[in-house]
Amino acid sequence: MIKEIVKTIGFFLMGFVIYLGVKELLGPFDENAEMMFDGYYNQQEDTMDAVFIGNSHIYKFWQGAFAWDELGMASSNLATSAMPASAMKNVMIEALKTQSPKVVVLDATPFASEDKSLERKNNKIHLLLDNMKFSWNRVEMIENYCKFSEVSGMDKLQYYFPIMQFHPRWKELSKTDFLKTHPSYLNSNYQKSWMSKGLEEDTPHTITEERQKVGELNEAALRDLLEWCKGQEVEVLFVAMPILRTVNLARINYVGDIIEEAGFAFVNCNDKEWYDSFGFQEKDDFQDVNHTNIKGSYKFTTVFGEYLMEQYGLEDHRGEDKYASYEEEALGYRKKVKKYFKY
Amino acid sequence: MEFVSAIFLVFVAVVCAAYFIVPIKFRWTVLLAASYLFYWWNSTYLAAVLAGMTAATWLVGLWLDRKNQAAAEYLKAHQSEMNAADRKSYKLSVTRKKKWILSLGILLDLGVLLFFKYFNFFLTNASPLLKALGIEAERYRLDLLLPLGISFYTLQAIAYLVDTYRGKYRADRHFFKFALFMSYFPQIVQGPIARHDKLAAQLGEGHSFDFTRLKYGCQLILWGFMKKLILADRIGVLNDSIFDNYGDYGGMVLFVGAVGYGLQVYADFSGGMDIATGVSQIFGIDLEANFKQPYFAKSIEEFWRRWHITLGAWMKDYIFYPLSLSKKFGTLGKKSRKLFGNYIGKKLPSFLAMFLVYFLVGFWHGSSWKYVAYGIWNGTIITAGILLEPAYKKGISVFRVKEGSFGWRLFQMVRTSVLCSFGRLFPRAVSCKTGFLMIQTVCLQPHPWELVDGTLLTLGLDGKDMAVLFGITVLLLLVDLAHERGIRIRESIASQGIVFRWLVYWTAFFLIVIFGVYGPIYERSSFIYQQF
Repeated sequence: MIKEIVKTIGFFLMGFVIYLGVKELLGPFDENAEMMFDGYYNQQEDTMDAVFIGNSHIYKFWQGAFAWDELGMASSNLATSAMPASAMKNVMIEALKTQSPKVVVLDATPFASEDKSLERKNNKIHLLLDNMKFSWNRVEMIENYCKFSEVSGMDKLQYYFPIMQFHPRWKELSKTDFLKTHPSYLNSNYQKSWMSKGLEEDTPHTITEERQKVGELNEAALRDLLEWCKGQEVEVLFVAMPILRTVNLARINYVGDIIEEAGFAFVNCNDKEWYDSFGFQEKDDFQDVNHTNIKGSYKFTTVFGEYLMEQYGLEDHRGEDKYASYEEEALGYRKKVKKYFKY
Repeated sequence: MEFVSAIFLVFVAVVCAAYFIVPIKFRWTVLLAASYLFYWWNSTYLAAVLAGMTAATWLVGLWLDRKNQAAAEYLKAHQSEMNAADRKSYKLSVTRKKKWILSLGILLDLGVLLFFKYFNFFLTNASPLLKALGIEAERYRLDLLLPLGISFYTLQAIAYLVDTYRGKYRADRHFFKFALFMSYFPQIVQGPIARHDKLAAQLGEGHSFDFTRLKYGCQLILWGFMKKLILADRIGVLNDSIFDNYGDYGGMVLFVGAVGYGLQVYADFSGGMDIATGVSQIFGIDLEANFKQPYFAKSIEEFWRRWHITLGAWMKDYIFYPLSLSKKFGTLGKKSRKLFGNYIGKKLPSFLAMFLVYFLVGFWHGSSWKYVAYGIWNGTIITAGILLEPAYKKGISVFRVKEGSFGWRLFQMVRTSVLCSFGRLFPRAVSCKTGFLMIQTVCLQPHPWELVDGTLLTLGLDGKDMAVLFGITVLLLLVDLAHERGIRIRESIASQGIVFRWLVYWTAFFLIVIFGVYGPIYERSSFIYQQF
């Protein structure tokens, strides 16, 4: 009987090892998302001053490499496209596992949407789940997401076993899938369209004082996060990035009110004073109405970085041995983007 | 709860654990509870239909059994007082009473099936007559859900009653064990159509855990999943494209659809059977085989002996033989011999019985004339084959064909498959009329160039899918070929070294995981025979 049990364990172990290989191979390969987590996990522990968490608003605005080069600030993003509001808390938990930053900057825009919006239910959750290390936090993130997007029963399995979703990718496997190695560049963005594109026509920035309610599920996720943050020792700052799209502005104001009511700092970069401080030339500095391009992100990072340095007493770490990896990655980034942007 | 789903596998695992934990004497109760839970999960309140039919069949079976016993006891007690004529007359009177009881039982079971499955069909076909009588048929159309597996367990119930009537075995005196026979979850969805004397005892007695049976059962389940998810559901995409847009294609493409549909049904149905058999094997229960390498059949008649074997056997035992051996058919045979000569005259009664069998086989598949056409197609081909047999033999002798040669056997197999494929156009087509139209297109507008001009790659499957399809089809045929030659694949694999064995199993598993047609981006597809 013992022999049979040992054989059974060996059998399933073999299957598990093969599964890990197949999952790695067929998992959706989003270079930016994978780089994001790998880069974060690989960074030397407790060296980071600031962590930025959120959706594309984060990684298309904040570039850790610029912040290092210009200010000597040690920072990184943990941001994926269309990150659902329900995931923000779990990503923050993940971030605090290896780093003790002086400030965690949280994107306010994932909460500023209707419940039926794209952010609530889409396959981009896999960008998060499939790149995070396996842990109880990841399980909790899946459960939160399923509750948030009303997925129940056996349908949840696709999030625990992403291969169920992505197995048809066997058709599109290429060399890249077998050689998934890449530098992280302090999780700075280098998508070609983002580096090369500007707006086709000048779009003015607008300001509103209106308030518009957000979806109930989004609001609940925000309140839950705020409640949880109260028990954390780390400083938390919520930020709404400067955008040219008017649709979300009233909702961002509504979210800002809730954040401030809860006693947390909120910076709305769409407020006139803030927006003007960046000195954007909209046509040149924005990729689209929702995101800056590399030029705009440089402006944003410099101005917002200075604010963080001053507000949270962050230090310039350039030249310190402990931060050599930051220097290396920033240098790599500079080389990577030099064709498109020189600074 | 679909057979091919994670929840079903979890369900089976839980039932298995419970089955082997419960004391051996009560293990059947686990299967009964699981069967009704499975049924309730799929059909909710329609479980009452199953329970009702079970109760009715059980009571009628007991009644028939009591009549059999009473008659036997009476004859034994009065053996010395009765002469042969008395005995015959007594038996006749008992048989007459039993026939009434049997008719009542069959009527009850069949009535439920006819009501749920065919009520709307009869209503549609009777609507002109009803209209003439001033009745608007549409008002009486019922929005009925078909109880899961009703076509299968009805035949099972009828077989039980007829066998009890014939005194083949005693009626089941244990209601709940009989209920398990009627509802056993691995086979209720799409068979095999079981006989009480072969299944009930196995279900009722408890089986000990056997690791080898567990392994073999899991392997069979794995093979069933492969057939269903990699082959059936993949080729289904191609078939759907062809049959849903049949007007857009020439005959050759339509024929590819017909062949593809045959392959789809085979992989789908036999895959389901493998899962049912594999699950049963884990419990220590052996189900009847429903397939025996049908694509190696050399005639349509043989095909039907290899395809859906338990349905064919049921039809043979409860329709064909009772009809062809009946007095009326005997009289018909005598008359027909006078009219048509010895050869045809002798065969005519069995032709009639056979035609009725295939008509019923077609009709059993669904409440539409297209299924009837499918049955008649098969009946016609078989009849034609028998009628033309003398000419056929003459041809073989004239052309000096070596009947045992590989080439000749291959020709026979291909010919059978082609004829079968033509027949398949009917059940898959939208209607009977469409089926005929498609056959017409195949014969008159073949457009063979569509096979090579890239049309096949516009049917929902790209080149890579086609390659997978080809690979799995070849694998299926190789496995069938091995079975045909008596090679027992599972035993052969089991005799290999441990690493090789495990690699084979995990390769099969990951082939399903990677190449299977499942998951959120696909529609969940149920088994084709489940709807019958």
